Amino acid sequence: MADETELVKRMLAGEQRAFDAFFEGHFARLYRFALPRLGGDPEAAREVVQATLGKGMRKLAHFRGESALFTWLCQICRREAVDYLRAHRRHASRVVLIDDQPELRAVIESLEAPDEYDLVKTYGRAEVGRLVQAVLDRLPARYGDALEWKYVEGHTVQEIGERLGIGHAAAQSLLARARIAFRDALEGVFGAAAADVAATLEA
Amino acid sequence: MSSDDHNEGERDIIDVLRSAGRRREPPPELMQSVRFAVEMEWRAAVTRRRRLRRSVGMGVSVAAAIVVAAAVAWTYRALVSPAEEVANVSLVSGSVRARVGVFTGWQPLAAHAPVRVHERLATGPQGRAALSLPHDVSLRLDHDTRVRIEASGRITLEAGAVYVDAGPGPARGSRGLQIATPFGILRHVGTQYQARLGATGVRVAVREGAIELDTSGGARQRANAGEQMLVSSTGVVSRSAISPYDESWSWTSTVAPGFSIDGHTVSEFLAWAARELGRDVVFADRAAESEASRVRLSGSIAGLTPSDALAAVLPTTGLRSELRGGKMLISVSTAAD
Repeated sequence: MADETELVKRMLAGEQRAFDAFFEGHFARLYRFALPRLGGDPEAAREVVQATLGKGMRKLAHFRGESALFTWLCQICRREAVDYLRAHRRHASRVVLIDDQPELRAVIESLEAPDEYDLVKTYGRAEVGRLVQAVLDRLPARYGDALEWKYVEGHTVQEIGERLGIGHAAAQSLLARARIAFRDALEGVFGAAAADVAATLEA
Repeated sequence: MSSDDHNEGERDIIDVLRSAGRRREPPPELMQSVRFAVEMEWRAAVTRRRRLRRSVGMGVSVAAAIVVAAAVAWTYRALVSPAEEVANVSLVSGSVRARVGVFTGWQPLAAHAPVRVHERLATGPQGRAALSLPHDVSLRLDHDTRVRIEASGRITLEAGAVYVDAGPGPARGSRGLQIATPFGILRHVGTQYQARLGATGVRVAVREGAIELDTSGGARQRANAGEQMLVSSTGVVSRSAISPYDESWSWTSTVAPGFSIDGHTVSEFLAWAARELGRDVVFADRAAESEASRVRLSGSIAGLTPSDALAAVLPTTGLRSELRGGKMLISVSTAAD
């Protein structure tokens, strides 16, 4: 969070590299956040994400670091999506995702374990898969990207370091932190061990 | 075990990641388009913040109050009155759409439609359009272009390329036209120029006259006819020469507003066509010049590009044209023609 406050300070000071890091670190995640909430309409997602980030830029000085920057943007994005759907009457009913349900939303935003909430048993494989991806998007820094590059796309630590502009040892350390963060988040959101989530997805 | 091998403790996580699959990546062109718009907002926010700090430092609270009052008045006016018409569509080719505000749908843009403040225009991969602005300024949009009409005389280029033709001669009231880009604000000094946004900067090429660019870093850059400059996102400016008939101008003549030939002399028609094609009219001899001044045209060349219009009109006048470098050579037709 301190890193994000620092990033915002640098952006407010007009530092181009800070803006580049912000955009590269948030755009794709925000797009994935908006897309399913807008019925999978890419043009609608583009409009809403652009409006969200535009508003984010105008309000940047008000970001206090009380939540993660991505969480802050998601709050703006939710309102923009509702406004968009209200204005476009063809989407008569709002899309409600499981991660928008109040109890689960609180869990995802804080990534802390809920009480008596067994998501693995409640929802199907597709929803659980999407939620895993949402968890990846909620991880700090570039953890989600690094995990995906390593374990889904099969890139080496060296290649990941090059992509992130860091050395081999730093990339290895980042991956270790990312694994821990992902495991904690997964268990927090699903209330189950990673192995149980994997079993649900493979069922 | 190498650092890239997986140990058993990671197996459950790997299984979850692989089973969930790759997250969906946004299309690159979509990302680029949003990036430009957001970067522009960011630069504007930074500039506003700097100005505000300067204002506070200088203790000009009265001025700030005036600005706030003006903003309130402007907002009130914008809310209660219909948006001002600032241009007309003079030509549409292919898919071109328009929308007012963020939350209304895109509509096809038709020729002769009015264009209002806050409207956004977007051309498709095969689409182009020309707008007619006050003071006889022609604004043309290349394909894959997005612009937003901010106010009368102020347009934001979000993606793609625009061409501005403010008419021959020195600037008139048209100097007020500003084209905002993420890399700076363009003003022209009686000119023909184009601005094209790329991933790393904006390229501005001047065909006639001159332009000024106030970069987002606060510097003012000027480019004259025959010059193009690339302003990068880091503020680096590189310059090179460009001829007025370079291939990169050719798209602009495909959406050139028509010329009404009825009652005009061939000389006047040639001046229009030559300017659209970035050439100078040169007569091969006095006879050709005299004939061009004497013959008056009738009919219409509506829907024809300048090149097509030349090919259609000149054979009926006893004259012929030939493009030689920067010259459009006009001579009297011979029997062999």
